[in-house]
Amino acid sequence: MGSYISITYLLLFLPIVAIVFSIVPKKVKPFILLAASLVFMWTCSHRWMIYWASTTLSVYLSALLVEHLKKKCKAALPDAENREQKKAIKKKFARKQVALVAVIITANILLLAVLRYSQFFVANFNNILRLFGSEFQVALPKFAACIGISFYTLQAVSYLHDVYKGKIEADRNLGRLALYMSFFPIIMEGPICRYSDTAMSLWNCERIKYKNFTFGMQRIAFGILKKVVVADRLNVMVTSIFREYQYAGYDGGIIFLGAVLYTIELYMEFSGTMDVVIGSGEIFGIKIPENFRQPFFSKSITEFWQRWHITLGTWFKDYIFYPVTMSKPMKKLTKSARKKLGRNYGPMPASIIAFGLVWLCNGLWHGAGWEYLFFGFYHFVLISLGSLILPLSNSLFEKWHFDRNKLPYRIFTIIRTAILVCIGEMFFNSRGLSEGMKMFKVLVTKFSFKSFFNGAIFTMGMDRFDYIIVLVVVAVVFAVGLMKEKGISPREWISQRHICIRWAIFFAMILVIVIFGAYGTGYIPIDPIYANF
Amino acid sequence: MKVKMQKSTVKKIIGSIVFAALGIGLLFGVSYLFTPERFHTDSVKDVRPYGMLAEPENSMDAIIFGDSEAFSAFSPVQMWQEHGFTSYVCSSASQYISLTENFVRQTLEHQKPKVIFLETNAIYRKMNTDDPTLSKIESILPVFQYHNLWKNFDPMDINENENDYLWRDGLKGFKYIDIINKSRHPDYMQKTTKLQKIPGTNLTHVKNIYNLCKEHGVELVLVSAPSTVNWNYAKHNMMVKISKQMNVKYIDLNLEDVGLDWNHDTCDRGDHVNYYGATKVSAFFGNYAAKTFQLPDHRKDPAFSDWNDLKPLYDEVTARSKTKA
Repeated sequence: MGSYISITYLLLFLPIVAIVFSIVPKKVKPFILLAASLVFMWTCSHRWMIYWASTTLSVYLSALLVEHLKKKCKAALPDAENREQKKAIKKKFARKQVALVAVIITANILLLAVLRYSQFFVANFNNILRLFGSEFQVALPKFAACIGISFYTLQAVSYLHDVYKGKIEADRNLGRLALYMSFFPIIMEGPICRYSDTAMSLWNCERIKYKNFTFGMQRIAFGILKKVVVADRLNVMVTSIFREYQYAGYDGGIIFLGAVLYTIELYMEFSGTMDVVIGSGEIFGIKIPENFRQPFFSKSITEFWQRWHITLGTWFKDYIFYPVTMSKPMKKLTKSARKKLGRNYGPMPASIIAFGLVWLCNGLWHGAGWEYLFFGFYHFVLISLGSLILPLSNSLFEKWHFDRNKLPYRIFTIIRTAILVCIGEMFFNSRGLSEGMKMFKVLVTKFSFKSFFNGAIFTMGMDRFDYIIVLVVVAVVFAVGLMKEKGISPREWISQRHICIRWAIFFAMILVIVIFGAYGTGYIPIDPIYANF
Repeated sequence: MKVKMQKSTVKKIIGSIVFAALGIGLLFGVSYLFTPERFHTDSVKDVRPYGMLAEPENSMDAIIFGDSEAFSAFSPVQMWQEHGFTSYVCSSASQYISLTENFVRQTLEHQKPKVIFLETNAIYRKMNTDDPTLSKIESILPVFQYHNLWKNFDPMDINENENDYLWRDGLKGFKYIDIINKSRHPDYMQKTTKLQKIPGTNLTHVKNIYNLCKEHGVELVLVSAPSTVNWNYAKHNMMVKISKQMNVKYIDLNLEDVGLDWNHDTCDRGDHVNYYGATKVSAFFGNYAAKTFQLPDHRKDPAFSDWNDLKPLYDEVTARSKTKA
């Protein structure tokens, strides 16, 4: 199974699991989900599931050990004769816990790094050797990884960290932890779930309810619509612009169009897959966290990242940003910076360092390549600049009595953010950083709308009908987003309509997918962008 | 209370069944509408194979099925001009063998050729689990295959006569490419005794095609078009083996003296032959097919006069090559 939006998953795997799940007694239901998840992983990863098993077992055992140490510490405290002794006992056990958690987390991150990044590091090492005139080259290592290794590793780290911090208790039920680490709808492309939000609802699952089933199906259909009608349709044109721009001599206008279309493609593919993922969970009555919240309504890059790939952003915030900013050296830095820079700018150096680390990890998480690191750096610079300018712009707007809530200004900030995002995605999708830079140069120095008027844009894999279809579906997605922004649930809204209207909407959606979907002979469906993470 | 709950459950079950039935009915309905008989098929992506369906009933002597290797290597119009038999290349880019099976099935409903050639590259195209299932669905609900017809939708254009297709291909499935991009591996057919495994369930589809041909009394022949990128000796050995098992003829044009110059006769470094290569392949293959299967010469038959009318179009399309060559 290479994708959730596939016949095998949607017409075979998911229905079989749902049928078996609904006929077995309540006690057996979580085991059905676990078995289905393991089968799903097996079909994608075969023997490389050993990596997943080792991560799951390591965090399971170490979390139990951490809890054991905590209990032992608690038991030892009454024997202490004074505060000093108590402090010493606490310190002794804390050290043991830190050492254990650090070893297990490092080992798992190292495993992820070796499997996903060793080629990148070795290739760069070889480049350095070449730079110094050495003919010696290290052979590029090739490792097969387990499906979803980036996702389950981050889940494992968050689980162990939360147990260590005392936010959750260590789970004695290996099956429950294994299900949290492998639940089939989330294993391939996320979202990155937290143990406290998901594990219990997974294990205590109820029978399939009619409303959950219908809502889940509707969400799945909406995801298929986004992916099959828009993302797959854009794939041919986006590929042709990004891969052939040099030979074809495209101008800056076409490069910009490519960047915009790729951003739409990425959003439609990733959020469409998330709809299928969340819809699949909904069928079983499991609430999977949202990964997108209308990101193109964002008025700044900071807000964009609070709405795009939300679970990754919150993971980085909780397990990198806060621990770094709250660390002793950073606290010290903030204290001294406050004295010199004042209250407004004082916390900034520590925040910028922590942000730098977050965006380095974000870049690396997206892929092993300089273009991805640059992608992280690009957003780091934009967010940092935004933070630096904010106090100044606040005072200026106040001085000029400028109301930033006015609609034209809000629209301006939304468009500005979208353009910055599109440029970032252009680097993300380029074939290496130098190619991205070249494309950016063409975008800036040879910008022209000529190709838009001479019909050239209709010769790159999309004719005018394709553009119309893309525009219509994007408008529908925008309308659904607008409803959500206004606090209206589109599915609740539909469910309150008359049955004829309801069914007409659903049948129309099915027909649009079947007739206007970009599948079959002559189309190349886009590979799930986050599937090999 | 319990009765009320039961009633509501029954209502939901009936509602779901009605919804599913209406949905399936709707798909059959649009499938009835979305058939190449009713529209201009030229809006279907990779339209060439569908032109086959527009050919007059029982008018073909030979039909070639396969992927892009087939439509770039065999020119039916050239073979007509040289030998007088009618043929069509029913192939599309990156065609899966499961789809080839569909095309063979559809074609044999209207045609009874003397021989069907199956180009072997598609046999080695790896399918994911979805591809054969989608081909199956397409054969039951044609809207999944012809959904792109909407691009040319015009109510005035709807064809009432189901057997009179609106789009026919003047090149009979051949694709003219005059780009020259030389091959880096002209010595690709290195002799070996190895057999290259056929992926997944592909062989089952080949056997299905064989059975379809047998049912319709048509001879099946395997043919490998020249390609330095896609073909090798291990694949050749496997084709020899399965052709013996099925008791069908096999001709590997990679080993025949076709006279190809891989510095000139390929458009993409040996992946496919270009027009210059196709001319040589068609000359050799036309001769082989006409002689081996004793295909008739219809050039003086008034019933096939429309084939003679194809010359001006063919000359116009291929004129560019004459200035380049």
